[in-house]
Amino acid sequence: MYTADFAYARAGSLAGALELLAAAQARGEDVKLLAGGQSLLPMMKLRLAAPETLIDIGGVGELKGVTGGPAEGAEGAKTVIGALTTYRELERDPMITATFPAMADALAVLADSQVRARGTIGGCIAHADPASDLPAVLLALDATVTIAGGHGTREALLDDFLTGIYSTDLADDEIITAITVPAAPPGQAYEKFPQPASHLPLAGACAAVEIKDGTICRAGVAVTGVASRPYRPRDTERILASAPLTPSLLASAAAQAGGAEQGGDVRPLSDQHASGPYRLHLAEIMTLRALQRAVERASGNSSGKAGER
Amino acid sequence: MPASTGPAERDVAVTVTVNGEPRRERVPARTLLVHFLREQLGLTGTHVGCDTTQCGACTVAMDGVAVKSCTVLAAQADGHEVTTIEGIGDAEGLHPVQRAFWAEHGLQCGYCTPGMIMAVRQLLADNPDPGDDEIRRGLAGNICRCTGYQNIVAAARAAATMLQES
Amino acid sequence: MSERHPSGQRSRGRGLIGEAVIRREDLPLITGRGRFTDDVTLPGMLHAHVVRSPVAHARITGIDVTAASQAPGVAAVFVAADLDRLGVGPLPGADNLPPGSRNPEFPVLATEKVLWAGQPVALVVAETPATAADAAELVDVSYDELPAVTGPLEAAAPDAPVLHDGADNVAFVKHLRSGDPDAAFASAAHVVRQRMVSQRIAPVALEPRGVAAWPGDDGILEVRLPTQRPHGARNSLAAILGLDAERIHVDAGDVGGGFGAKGPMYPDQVAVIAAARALGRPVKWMETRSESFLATTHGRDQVADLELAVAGDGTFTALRGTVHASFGAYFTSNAPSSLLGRLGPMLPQGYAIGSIDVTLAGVFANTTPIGPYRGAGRPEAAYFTERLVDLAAAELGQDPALVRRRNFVRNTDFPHVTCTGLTYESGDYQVGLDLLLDKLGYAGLRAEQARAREELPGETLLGVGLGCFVEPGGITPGVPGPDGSAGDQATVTVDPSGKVTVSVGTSAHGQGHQTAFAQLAAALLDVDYEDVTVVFGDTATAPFGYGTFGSRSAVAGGTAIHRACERILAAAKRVDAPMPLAEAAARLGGLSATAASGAPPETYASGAYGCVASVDPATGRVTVERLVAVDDCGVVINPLLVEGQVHGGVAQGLGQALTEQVAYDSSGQPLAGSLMDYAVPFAASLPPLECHSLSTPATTNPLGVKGMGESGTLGATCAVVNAVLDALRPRGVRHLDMPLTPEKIWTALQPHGS
Repeated sequence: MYTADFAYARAGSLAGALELLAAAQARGEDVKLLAGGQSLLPMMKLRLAAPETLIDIGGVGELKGVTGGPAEGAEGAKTVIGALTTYRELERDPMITATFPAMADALAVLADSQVRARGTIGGCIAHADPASDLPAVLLALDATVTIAGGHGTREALLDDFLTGIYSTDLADDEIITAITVPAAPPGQAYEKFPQPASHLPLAGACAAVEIKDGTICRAGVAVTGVASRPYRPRDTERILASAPLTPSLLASAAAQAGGAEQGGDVRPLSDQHASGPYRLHLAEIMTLRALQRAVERASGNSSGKAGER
Repeated sequence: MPASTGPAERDVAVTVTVNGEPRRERVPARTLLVHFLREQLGLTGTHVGCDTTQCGACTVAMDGVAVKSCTVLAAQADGHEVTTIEGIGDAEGLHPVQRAFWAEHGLQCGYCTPGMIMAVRQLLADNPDPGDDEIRRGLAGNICRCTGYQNIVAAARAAATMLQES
Repeated sequence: MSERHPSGQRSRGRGLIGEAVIRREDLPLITGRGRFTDDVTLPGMLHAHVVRSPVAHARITGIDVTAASQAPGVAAVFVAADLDRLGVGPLPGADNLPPGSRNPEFPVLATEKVLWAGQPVALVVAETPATAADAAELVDVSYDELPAVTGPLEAAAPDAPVLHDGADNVAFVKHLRSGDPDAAFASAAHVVRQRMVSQRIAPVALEPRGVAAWPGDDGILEVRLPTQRPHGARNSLAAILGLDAERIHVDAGDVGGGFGAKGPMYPDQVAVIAAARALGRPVKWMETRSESFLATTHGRDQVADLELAVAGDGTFTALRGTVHASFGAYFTSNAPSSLLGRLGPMLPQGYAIGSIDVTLAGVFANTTPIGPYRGAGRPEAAYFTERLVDLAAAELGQDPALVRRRNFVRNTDFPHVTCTGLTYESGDYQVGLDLLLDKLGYAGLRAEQARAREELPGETLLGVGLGCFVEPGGITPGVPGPDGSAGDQATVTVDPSGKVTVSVGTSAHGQGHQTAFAQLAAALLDVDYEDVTVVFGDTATAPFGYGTFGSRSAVAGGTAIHRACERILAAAKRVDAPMPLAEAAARLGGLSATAASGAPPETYASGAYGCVASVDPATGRVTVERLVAVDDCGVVINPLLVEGQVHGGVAQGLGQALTEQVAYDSSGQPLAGSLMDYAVPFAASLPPLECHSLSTPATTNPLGVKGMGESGTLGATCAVVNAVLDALRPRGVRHLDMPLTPEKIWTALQPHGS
């Protein structure tokens, strides 16, 4: 219940944070950034993580808040979410919940109210827990990650940024500054099958579809909790766009949700909560249910209620 | 929030306004807010029931929003306002949520109760007239092992009525 | 305060018994002014951290505490040899074992071997909890690992790795045999046979264990201990530390739940207390939640291979089989009683079964020691029997409610002596079941189920389950206690102003005894409820008692209070004219009386629970739609408190049925080491509970009360599992072991499933 000892520094600005980060690294310290702390602090309390230095970026105002989106610009504008925006701020932002119903679904069943009050979207992405709700939504919506470092700023597709269990493409001297979500069709939903103790997804799936003339013309699907990182089942997406929309099309597309990740087979996680085959099966069922609700919403039926816990 | 970016320190000075009163202490950087409250300030109403941010016994309000004080560093609370169970009401003037827990037999051993009350207080601030299902789902961050939650849900409902009438 | 508060109406007199008085203990607890063990801070207090074995079975080849001892802020590091030097003895093992049983001593800190992952090996005492934790990482213990065994059947096998001295891990075997089981089975029309597991689970009281100890005035050892048994803890400590019990003061303060696990005295607590004595300073230790999954006793962990003989007309005639119970690495004091005194003897439940032939085997395994956990043998007995009854109904092709009703002990047949030798004093199981069926709308549910099975065979599966049970309560040792009187004591004092103080040897930790016992005393003495103060939990102010566990307090504590009140009323008659008690007390300069409960016979509460559950065939996920409880616990002192006990027990029963399990890998490492992995029910796991009652008063105690604190775990476990398996039956699933996880159910529903 007590973390190992560490040194603490507080950054007042992004530039200051980058400076502190560079300085700690120059001294050869094992350093971690502290945002909301809802994932890092529990790991430190169990002494599964014991950084020598923590740089608290929680007060860096320039990394907070939501800009863009349809409210501020034309239809089709991007939405930029500051990395330190909390889940609570997102779930209470009417523009976010109206524009990204799948995100609203996920936020409603993500951890619990107290954790959502502190946890941040950037922290979530940086932590890269293989069983995390929001990355599935962001992945399905083609989100990009903005990263600042000593040598300037770069953008990465979230799909490229997530590399494995608790691992990302973030360099030691970099900080995630924002998540950008392109305009998305209203036909979206997130479905989750929770692990009963932690409430993390044993399998979660996000589907985003755009339907024209009875055919899905654009589909984004992502699955979380099942593999070492959230992934896009590309075969599912291909099948969805391959033929007129029918219930059986959704079923045959969902059947591939556990089948292929970027061309290769998904190697499912397996633990005392769910075996690999069961996780793959849940991936299919959650994908199917997310697709069904996404299609309902695409058809202007907003009744598809948020996934139950 | 001070904007300073000094060198990293193992001991930090923090000032937290707790239940309306500014409290300044120098503590090891690793001090959790819950330990700051319990050990530095003697506010032992906030409890520790787990070490993985599940049980919610340590719930307090930070800047008016319920958080788990076992998963916040005291240093992160520097410059912020914290309200604990001791700050929302006492024998002379109970908060409606406290009154509802009492009237509805919403507690048995009482260990989860302060956190549960602080969580219900937040739930009702966010949703003044919740249904039973919304209450149950809204308490996902708090564990009670005594009551089967039955009378906690009843207390939340009763408190909602009291708060709406007041 | 509330419409439930009788203030101004029936605040005195006999009518107080049965009133839903809201609790007087709540005000400090809802305002953050409770006094739990971790709230105790004393000047100069040191903090302890327990170094535990990371492996399940190993020889200790060396312990080096040099670095830890020299770490900043460290006051001392203790290992087994240090406690030896201090004369701190081992824990004595179990009570009440059959002759010839093995009963190994339980070392405070491990000596040559460690027998479970989590066994205490060393104790670090330092200036702060954090520095103690830091230094604990520097204690260097070398282990020579041995093969481990974790399950009851595996541990009982002749080729299993052996924990203690001896040829195997079987600590005792006991046979329960009466009637003519061989003839019953030979002539049975049906024999229903099933292997069933009551899996190992963790109590998870929200307050973890802990202790604070310090040298007090006059050489008294002060111990602040979250315990269900303050006097028992004091007496155990006296024996282990080699002190007179009078030299030890145990104060429980507020206790944040126990569920049985705060009954035993634990080695880690003994080590901390010994450290405080040795160092002459206050020392506190609080268990972390993750630590508690290793160090606090678990419950259940039995495998039953049982058979029920059923005659052609559907009458149950005999039970036979074997129950293997693991007790983990060591016995805790009363753990075997759960099997020997509860699980085995209660197998007949509420059914008139004439014969039994059951073998009970207790084994050691490389797992956390087992202790009593809510029900402690009762839920397991009810579960095994109620599963067999449902299987029998399925085999007979009859409705499970009908099969139960036919076999119940009839209400005209009380007192009823079971084939295991227990005497049920009163009850009406048929009426209880009928009330349940009515409240459930049972006939309608069955019709709805039949329709759904006909019309929507692939859709959600609906199940209705029953769980009927008998719950023994009030256990009190028949032998005299330390001062020669039997049972728990109560002292009732009426001071000259008329204020009444009731101090009692039972010790609540959430049950609401301050309220219930004040109601009781006010009713018996005909004084104002507000004039009665209730005291317990502190060996300095409460008279001797066995504490609170086993649904015993209303029976034993209540009886003691009743007797003391009778003595007060008799003494008050010494005044020359009839007058109110307060006036008599004023005339007589105050009154005081102490009485012991004696050993009132155990009471046998009963219940009939029903559950409606649905299963999503696509995922195997269970939704508990309804839970209806009918309880009969005789005379009810405070229905609010009784219902509260039912609610909590139901949640724990549902937890065992659906999500909770302490599992180990093949090397003995626990798979669920925190609340991230061990799934207790949350608010959203439960439907609104529907509670109903009837009352057949106990005939064996003066109050007519029956112990009921564990009933919910008996009824809910059976009803939930039976409902889920009822839902799955049309899909060819006969039985699944708890917890009924979605994956287990989904797997069973697959064509290749079991």
